[in-house]
Amino acid sequence: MKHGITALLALATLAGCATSGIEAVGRPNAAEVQKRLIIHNEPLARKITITKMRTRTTGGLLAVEATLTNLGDRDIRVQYRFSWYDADDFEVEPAKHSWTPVTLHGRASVNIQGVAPTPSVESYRIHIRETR
Amino acid sequence: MKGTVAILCSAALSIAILSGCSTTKVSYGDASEVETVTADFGSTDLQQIATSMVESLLSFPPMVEITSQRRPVIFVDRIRNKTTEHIDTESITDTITTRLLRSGKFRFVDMSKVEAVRKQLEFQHGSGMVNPETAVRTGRQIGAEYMLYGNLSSIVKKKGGTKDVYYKFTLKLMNLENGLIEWSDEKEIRKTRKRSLFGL
Repeated sequence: MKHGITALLALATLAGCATSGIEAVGRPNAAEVQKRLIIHNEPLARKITITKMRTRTTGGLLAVEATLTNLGDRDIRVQYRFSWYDADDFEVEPAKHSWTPVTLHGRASVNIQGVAPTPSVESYRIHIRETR
Repeated sequence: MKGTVAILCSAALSIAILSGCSTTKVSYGDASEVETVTADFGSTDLQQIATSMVESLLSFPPMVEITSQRRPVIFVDRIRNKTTEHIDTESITDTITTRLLRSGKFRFVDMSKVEAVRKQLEFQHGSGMVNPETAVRTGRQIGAEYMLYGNLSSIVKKKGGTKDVYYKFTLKLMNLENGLIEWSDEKEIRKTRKRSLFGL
Protein backbone atom coordinates (compact mmCIF):
# COMPACT_ATOMS: atom_id res chain seq x y z
CA MET A 1 0.00 0.00 0.00
CA LYS A 2 2.81 2.37 1.04
CA HIS A 3 4.74 1.57 -2.12
CA GLY A 4 1.58 2.10 -4.15
CA ILE A 5 1.12 5.64 -2.76
CA THR A 6 4.79 6.48 -3.29
CA ALA A 7 4.56 5.29 -6.89
CA LEU A 8 1.36 7.31 -7.40
CA LEU A 9 3.00 10.44 -5.97
CA ALA A 10 6.05 9.98 -8.18
CA LEU A 11 3.77 9.57 -11.21
CA ALA A 12 1.79 12.69 -10.29
CA THR A 13 5.00 14.67 -9.83
CA LEU A 14 6.31 13.54 -13.19
CA ALA A 15 2.98 14.23 -14.89
CA GLY A 16 2.99 17.78 -13.52
CA CYS A 17 6.33 18.60 -15.08
CA ALA A 18 7.06 19.86 -18.55
CA THR A 19 10.21 18.00 -19.50
CA SER A 20 13.08 18.94 -21.78
CA GLY A 21 12.36 18.74 -25.45
CA ILE A 22 13.72 19.50 -28.91
CA GLU A 23 15.58 22.57 -30.14
CA ALA A 24 15.70 23.72 -33.74
CA VAL A 25 18.59 26.07 -34.45
CA GLY A 26 19.01 28.24 -37.51
CA ARG A 27 21.44 30.86 -38.77
CA PRO A 28 20.04 31.80 -42.19
CA ASN A 29 22.37 34.70 -43.02
CA ALA A 30 25.63 32.85 -42.37
CA ALA A 31 27.97 32.12 -45.29
CA GLU A 32 26.75 28.54 -45.07
CA VAL A 33 23.12 28.40 -44.01
CA GLN A 34 22.93 26.43 -40.78
CA LYS A 35 19.94 24.40 -39.65
CA ARG A 36 20.04 21.65 -37.09
CA LEU A 37 17.92 19.85 -34.54
CA ILE A 38 19.10 19.16 -31.02
CA ILE A 39 17.17 16.39 -29.34
CA HIS A 40 17.13 16.40 -25.56
CA ASN A 41 14.09 14.16 -25.27
CA GLU A 42 14.14 10.98 -27.37
CA PRO A 43 10.56 9.86 -26.53
CA LEU A 44 9.23 13.25 -27.70
CA ALA A 45 11.34 13.08 -30.87
CA ARG A 46 9.64 9.77 -31.69
CA LYS A 47 6.22 11.45 -31.39
CA ILE A 48 6.80 14.75 -33.23
CA THR A 49 9.22 16.15 -35.72
CA ILE A 50 10.06 19.41 -37.43
CA THR A 51 9.62 18.81 -41.14
CA LYS A 52 10.42 22.28 -42.51
CA MET A 53 12.18 25.44 -41.33
CA ARG A 54 11.87 28.51 -43.52
CA THR A 55 13.09 32.06 -43.06
CA ARG A 56 12.71 35.40 -44.77
CA THR A 57 13.47 38.98 -43.93
CA THR A 58 10.50 41.34 -43.69
CA GLY A 59 11.28 45.01 -43.15
CA GLY A 60 14.72 44.11 -41.80
CA LEU A 61 13.27 41.63 -39.30
CA LEU A 62 13.99 37.92 -39.55
CA ALA A 63 10.78 35.87 -39.83
CA VAL A 64 10.82 32.13 -39.18
CA GLU A 65 8.25 29.45 -39.92
CA ALA A 66 8.61 25.84 -38.83
CA THR A 67 6.31 22.91 -39.49
CA LEU A 68 5.65 20.62 -36.54
CA THR A 69 4.29 17.21 -37.45
CA ASN A 70 2.67 14.70 -35.14
CA LEU A 71 3.99 11.25 -36.10
CA GLY A 72 1.36 9.41 -34.08
CA ASP A 73 -2.40 8.95 -34.29
CA ARG A 74 -3.24 10.53 -30.95
CA ASP A 75 -3.43 14.27 -30.25
CA ILE A 76 -0.38 15.65 -28.53
CA ARG A 77 -0.06 18.97 -26.69
CA VAL A 78 3.26 20.73 -26.95
CA GLN A 79 4.64 24.17 -26.09
CA TYR A 80 7.10 26.17 -28.15
CA ARG A 81 9.18 29.27 -27.61
CA PHE A 82 11.48 31.26 -29.87
CA SER A 83 14.73 32.79 -28.71
CA TRP A 84 16.73 35.20 -30.86
CA TYR A 85 20.47 35.94 -31.09
CA ASP A 86 22.55 38.72 -32.62
CA ALA A 87 25.74 38.42 -34.71
CA ASP A 88 27.81 37.92 -31.55
CA ASP A 89 25.47 35.18 -30.31
CA PHE A 90 24.11 37.38 -27.52
CA GLU A 91 20.44 36.72 -26.84
CA VAL A 92 18.23 39.58 -28.01
CA GLU A 93 15.46 40.62 -25.59
CA PRO A 94 16.20 37.68 -23.28
CA ALA A 95 13.48 36.19 -21.07
CA LYS A 96 10.76 38.10 -22.90
CA HIS A 97 9.54 35.28 -25.11
CA SER A 98 6.95 33.12 -23.48
CA TRP A 99 5.98 29.51 -24.08
CA THR A 100 3.01 29.09 -26.39
CA PRO A 101 0.80 26.01 -26.15
CA VAL A 102 -0.28 24.24 -29.35
CA THR A 103 -2.24 21.06 -29.99
CA LEU A 104 -1.04 18.72 -32.72
CA HIS A 105 -3.83 16.45 -33.90
CA GLY A 106 -3.01 12.89 -34.96
CA ARG A 107 -0.82 12.74 -38.09
CA ALA A 108 -1.39 16.48 -38.60
CA SER A 109 1.06 19.34 -39.09
CA VAL A 110 0.98 22.84 -37.65
CA ASN A 111 3.02 25.81 -38.82
CA ILE A 112 4.45 27.96 -36.07
CA GLN A 113 5.75 31.43 -36.88
CA GLY A 114 7.96 33.91 -35.13
CA VAL A 115 9.23 37.37 -36.04
CA ALA A 116 12.48 38.65 -34.57
CA PRO A 117 11.98 41.47 -32.07
CA THR A 118 14.71 43.70 -33.56
CA PRO A 119 16.67 43.96 -36.84
CA SER A 120 19.89 42.92 -35.04
CA VAL A 121 18.81 39.26 -34.96
CA GLU A 122 21.00 36.88 -36.97
CA SER A 123 20.04 33.47 -35.63
CA TYR A 124 17.22 31.79 -33.76
CA ARG A 125 16.31 28.78 -31.69
CA ILE A 126 12.90 27.15 -31.44
CA HIS A 127 12.42 25.26 -28.19
CA ILE A 128 9.72 22.60 -28.21
CA ARG A 129 8.58 20.51 -25.26
CA GLU A 130 5.66 18.32 -24.43
CA THR A 131 2.91 19.51 -22.07
CA ARG A 132 2.27 16.82 -19.51
CA MET B 1 -15.58 6.22 28.06
CA LYS B 2 -11.89 6.20 28.89
CA GLY B 3 -11.16 4.75 25.46
CA THR B 4 -13.14 7.49 23.71
CA VAL B 5 -11.30 10.22 25.63
CA ALA B 6 -7.96 8.63 24.74
CA ILE B 7 -8.89 8.52 21.04
CA LEU B 8 -10.08 12.15 21.09
CA CYS B 9 -6.91 13.24 22.88
CA SER B 10 -4.64 11.44 20.43
CA ALA B 11 -6.62 12.87 17.47
CA ALA B 12 -6.26 16.41 18.88
CA LEU B 13 -2.56 15.82 19.45
CA SER B 14 -2.09 14.54 15.89
CA ILE B 15 -3.85 17.61 14.47
CA ALA B 16 -1.71 19.91 16.62
CA ILE B 17 1.48 18.17 15.52
CA LEU B 18 0.49 18.16 11.86
CA SER B 19 -0.52 21.83 11.81
CA GLY B 20 2.72 22.65 13.57
CA CYS B 21 4.64 20.91 10.81
CA SER B 22 2.90 22.77 7.97
CA THR B 23 5.13 25.33 6.33
CA THR B 24 4.61 28.08 3.78
CA LYS B 25 7.08 28.02 0.94
CA VAL B 26 7.67 30.92 -1.41
CA SER B 27 9.60 30.41 -4.60
CA TYR B 28 10.24 32.34 -7.79
CA GLY B 29 8.78 30.90 -10.97
CA ASP B 30 9.42 31.40 -14.67
CA ALA B 31 7.28 34.28 -16.00
CA SER B 32 7.36 32.73 -19.48
CA GLU B 33 5.75 29.46 -18.38
CA VAL B 34 2.29 28.47 -19.61
CA GLU B 35 -0.14 29.27 -16.81
CA THR B 36 -3.28 27.11 -16.45
CA VAL B 37 -4.33 27.67 -12.85
CA THR B 38 -7.87 28.61 -13.92
CA ALA B 39 -9.66 29.16 -17.23
CA ASP B 40 -9.81 32.93 -16.55
CA PHE B 41 -7.70 35.42 -18.50
CA GLY B 42 -4.08 34.92 -17.48
CA SER B 43 -0.48 35.77 -18.20
CA THR B 44 -0.16 33.27 -21.05
CA ASP B 45 -3.17 34.83 -22.80
CA LEU B 46 -1.66 38.31 -22.43
CA GLN B 47 1.70 37.16 -23.77
CA GLN B 48 0.14 35.26 -26.69
CA ILE B 49 -2.01 38.25 -27.67
CA ALA B 50 0.89 40.70 -27.47
CA THR B 51 3.23 38.45 -29.47
CA SER B 52 0.64 37.78 -32.15
CA MET B 53 -0.32 41.46 -32.57
CA VAL B 54 3.24 42.77 -32.60
CA GLU B 55 4.46 40.19 -35.12
CA SER B 56 1.43 40.80 -37.34
CA LEU B 57 1.90 44.58 -37.34
CA LEU B 58 5.65 44.36 -37.93
CA SER B 59 5.26 42.02 -40.91
CA PHE B 60 2.16 43.54 -42.58
CA PRO B 61 3.44 44.60 -46.05
CA PRO B 62 1.99 48.17 -46.16
CA MET B 63 3.36 48.84 -42.67
CA VAL B 64 6.73 47.36 -43.64
CA GLU B 65 6.85 49.85 -46.52
CA ILE B 66 5.93 52.79 -44.26
CA THR B 67 8.36 51.85 -41.49
CA SER B 68 11.20 51.37 -43.97
CA GLN B 69 11.09 55.13 -44.67
CA ARG B 70 10.30 56.57 -41.23
CA ARG B 71 9.23 55.68 -37.69
CA PRO B 72 5.52 56.54 -37.53
CA VAL B 73 4.15 58.05 -34.32
CA ILE B 74 1.28 56.17 -32.70
CA PHE B 75 -1.19 57.14 -30.01
CA VAL B 76 -2.64 54.24 -28.02
CA ASP B 77 -6.31 54.47 -27.17
CA ARG B 78 -7.81 52.02 -24.69
CA ILE B 79 -8.80 48.42 -25.36
CA ARG B 80 -12.48 47.96 -24.56
CA ASN B 81 -13.00 45.03 -22.23
CA LYS B 82 -16.28 43.46 -23.37
CA THR B 83 -15.81 40.30 -21.33
CA THR B 84 -17.47 39.65 -17.98
CA GLU B 85 -14.08 39.44 -16.26
CA HIS B 86 -12.06 42.24 -14.75
CA ILE B 87 -9.06 42.43 -17.08
CA ASP B 88 -6.36 45.07 -17.02
CA THR B 89 -6.35 45.82 -20.75
CA GLU B 90 -3.79 48.61 -20.24
CA SER B 91 -1.32 45.87 -19.37
CA ILE B 92 -1.91 44.30 -22.80
CA THR B 93 -1.38 47.61 -24.62
CA ASP B 94 1.68 48.33 -22.46
CA THR B 95 3.31 45.08 -23.60
CA ILE B 96 2.38 45.71 -27.24
CA THR B 97 3.64 49.31 -27.07
CA THR B 98 6.93 48.30 -25.44
CA ARG B 99 7.64 45.60 -28.01
CA LEU B 100 6.77 47.84 -30.97
CA LEU B 101 8.93 50.63 -29.57
CA ARG B 102 11.87 48.30 -28.94
CA SER B 103 11.65 46.96 -32.50
CA GLY B 104 12.83 50.41 -33.60
CA LYS B 105 10.00 50.66 -36.14
CA PHE B 106 7.48 52.87 -34.31
CA ARG B 107 7.37 55.75 -31.85
CA PHE B 108 4.60 56.59 -29.40
CA VAL B 109 3.04 59.53 -27.63
CA ASP B 110 1.61 58.95 -24.16
CA MET B 111 -1.68 60.78 -23.71
CA SER B 112 -1.97 59.68 -20.08
CA LYS B 113 0.94 61.98 -19.21
CA VAL B 114 -0.25 65.15 -20.96
CA GLU B 115 -1.29 66.84 -17.69
CA ALA B 116 2.01 66.01 -15.98
CA VAL B 117 3.94 67.37 -18.98
CA ARG B 118 1.83 70.55 -18.99
CA LYS B 119 2.57 71.13 -15.28
CA GLN B 120 6.30 70.59 -15.83
CA LEU B 121 6.37 73.00 -18.78
CA GLU B 122 4.42 75.62 -16.79
CA PHE B 123 6.93 75.20 -13.99
CA GLN B 124 9.87 75.62 -16.37
CA HIS B 125 8.44 78.70 -18.07
CA GLY B 126 6.27 80.40 -15.43
CA SER B 127 7.75 79.73 -12.02
CA GLY B 128 10.83 81.90 -12.41
CA MET B 129 12.86 79.12 -10.81
CA VAL B 130 14.29 77.60 -14.01
CA ASN B 131 17.08 79.14 -16.06
CA PRO B 132 15.26 80.13 -19.31
CA GLU B 133 18.25 78.96 -21.33
CA THR B 134 17.75 75.40 -20.06
CA ALA B 135 13.93 75.37 -20.27
CA VAL B 136 12.60 73.12 -23.03
CA ARG B 137 10.85 74.90 -25.88
CA THR B 138 7.09 74.49 -26.11
CA GLY B 139 4.89 73.89 -29.12
CA ARG B 140 7.29 71.42 -30.66
CA GLN B 141 5.71 68.09 -29.69
CA ILE B 142 5.04 65.70 -32.52
CA GLY B 143 1.46 64.85 -33.42
CA ALA B 144 0.49 61.19 -33.72
CA GLU B 145 -0.21 59.87 -37.20
CA TYR B 146 -1.96 56.71 -36.11
CA MET B 147 -4.27 55.53 -33.34
CA LEU B 148 -4.12 51.99 -31.95
CA TYR B 149 -7.34 50.71 -30.39
CA GLY B 150 -9.31 47.51 -30.02
CA ASN B 151 -11.67 45.18 -28.21
CA LEU B 152 -11.43 42.10 -26.06
CA SER B 153 -14.55 39.95 -26.03
CA SER B 154 -15.36 36.50 -24.75
CA ILE B 155 -17.92 33.74 -25.02
CA VAL B 156 -18.21 31.57 -21.91
CA LYS B 157 -20.15 28.32 -21.77
CA LYS B 158 -20.58 26.02 -18.80
CA LYS B 159 -22.10 22.59 -18.50
CA GLY B 160 -21.61 20.30 -15.54
CA GLY B 161 -17.96 20.34 -14.65
CA THR B 162 -16.88 21.76 -18.00
CA LYS B 163 -16.22 25.42 -18.68
CA ASP B 164 -15.28 26.61 -22.15
CA VAL B 165 -13.94 30.13 -22.64
CA TYR B 166 -13.33 31.70 -26.03
CA TYR B 167 -11.47 35.02 -26.14
CA LYS B 168 -11.21 37.23 -29.19
CA PHE B 169 -8.84 40.17 -29.18
CA THR B 170 -9.12 42.65 -32.04
CA LEU B 171 -6.62 45.44 -32.62
CA LYS B 172 -6.86 48.18 -35.25
CA LEU B 173 -4.56 50.93 -36.46
CA MET B 174 -6.31 54.02 -37.78
CA ASN B 175 -4.73 56.73 -39.89
CA LEU B 176 -5.79 59.90 -38.00
CA GLU B 177 -5.54 62.10 -41.08
CA ASN B 178 -7.99 60.25 -43.29
CA GLY B 179 -9.72 57.86 -40.88
CA LEU B 180 -8.66 54.75 -42.78
CA ILE B 181 -7.96 51.53 -40.91
CA GLU B 182 -4.43 50.77 -42.11
CA TRP B 183 -4.06 47.46 -40.27
CA SER B 184 -6.18 45.15 -38.18
CA ASP B 185 -5.76 41.68 -36.77
CA GLU B 186 -7.44 39.25 -34.40
CA LYS B 187 -6.18 36.69 -31.95
CA GLU B 188 -8.44 33.90 -30.79
CA ILE B 189 -7.82 31.81 -27.68
CA ARG B 190 -9.86 28.84 -26.49
CA LYS B 191 -9.52 27.46 -22.99
CA THR B 192 -11.41 24.53 -21.50
CA ARG B 193 -11.56 23.57 -17.86
CA LYS B 194 -12.81 20.10 -17.00
CA ARG B 195 -13.40 19.18 -13.41
CA SER B 196 -12.49 15.57 -12.69
CA LEU B 197 -14.67 13.20 -10.68
CA PHE B 198 -12.99 13.82 -7.34
CA GLY B 199 -12.34 17.48 -7.92
CA LEU B 200 -8.59 16.87 -8.21
